[in-house]
Amino acid sequence: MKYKDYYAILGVARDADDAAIKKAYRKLARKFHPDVTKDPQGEAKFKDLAEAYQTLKDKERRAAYDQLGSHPIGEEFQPSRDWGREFNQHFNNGESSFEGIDLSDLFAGLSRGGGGGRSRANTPIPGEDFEVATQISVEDAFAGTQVKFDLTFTLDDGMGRGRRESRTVEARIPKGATNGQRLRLRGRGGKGHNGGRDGDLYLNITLKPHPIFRVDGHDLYLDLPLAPWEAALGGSVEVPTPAGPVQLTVTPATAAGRRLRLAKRGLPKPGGGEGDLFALVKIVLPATYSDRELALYAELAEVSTFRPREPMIEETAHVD
Amino acid sequence: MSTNPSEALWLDASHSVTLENLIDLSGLSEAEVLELIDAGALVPLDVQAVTWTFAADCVLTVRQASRLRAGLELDVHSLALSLSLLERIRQLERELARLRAQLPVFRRY
Repeated sequence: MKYKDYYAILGVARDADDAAIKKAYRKLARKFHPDVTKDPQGEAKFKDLAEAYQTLKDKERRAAYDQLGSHPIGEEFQPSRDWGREFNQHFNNGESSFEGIDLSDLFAGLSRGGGGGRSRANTPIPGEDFEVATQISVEDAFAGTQVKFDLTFTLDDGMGRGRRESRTVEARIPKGATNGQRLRLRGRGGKGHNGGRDGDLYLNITLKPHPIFRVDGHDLYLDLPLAPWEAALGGSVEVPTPAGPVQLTVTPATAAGRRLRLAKRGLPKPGGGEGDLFALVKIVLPATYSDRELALYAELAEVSTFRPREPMIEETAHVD
Repeated sequence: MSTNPSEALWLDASHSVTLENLIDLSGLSEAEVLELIDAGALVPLDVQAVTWTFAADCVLTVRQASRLRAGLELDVHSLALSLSLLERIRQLERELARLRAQLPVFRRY
């Protein structure tokens, strides 16, 4: 197994007292706790911190850990036979291999729950819960989808020792997902033992940014570019929706910035019903014009009585 | 409010769970969950009801409470405060996402 230096992880000396260890842990835990950290490595760091603290704060476990001696961080090593005899019952019974066992599992039988493997034989042990982040597309959220991931399960070998095993898990996300939504899949986590219930799988769902649709809960927004004459004259335009394109009627004299609502064309809601799709009108102009077009615009400028900046000038005229 | 088929549970405000579910899913004891309700960190949908039910997103709150308490060794009042601040952050993030969705994107034509 790989050596982890718990004292270094907490940033304390090997002879630090309980108070110093507690203080060091709390300071670092506040920084890296998964619910509050901004650090992308925060969760992994926190796991190490928690492991170090659980071992060093307990007198028996700390003694057992100190007896392993000091090794370079990350170095592969095996506890000596003497260590095994003193601290590890299973080792005593001829189980001489520590293959596949993590350093953190070594102390699991000490103090907590006491007595090691045998006395745990009848206690129901609930299975591990898993929380996984998964990103799906807007189309997947619309139709529901299957997702797959690899999870590392800690399997109890029946004697209180954990063995890590990676397995691929498939899960179905029903219709109703949106950005930031969580789904609990019952019993899809680690297996329980001795009648303990199976753990659950929690999915933290996020939606991939979409080139056309913007997501707000179960409502969708898209920009609807219209040429000036389309906004002025009105007409029928084709608008994309997750279910396929639909025809939208633009009324004559449509103003820029208007929200045109396409009811129930958004994402399906998990409780039933659908969100809406909003088309935001944007009056857009080409980058280049032909001579004829410019001539027509000049004519329009002559004929029109539209003075868009008049209100602005009137307002500022009162400043003396 | 609708109830889910037992396999998949959407943890959002449009679904509900019982107090029993909440205790079961939280990893906390009944006493600890009741303490959180007492401190205002969890609010039943109808306080007067004989059997309390909660919005399903309370499951996220209790699980978060369980993690914070275990990881940071917080007492129940610090815990309730932390939970309410975290909820406020989530509300703000949702509002931001809403505003961003409604802003048109500049594009050259």
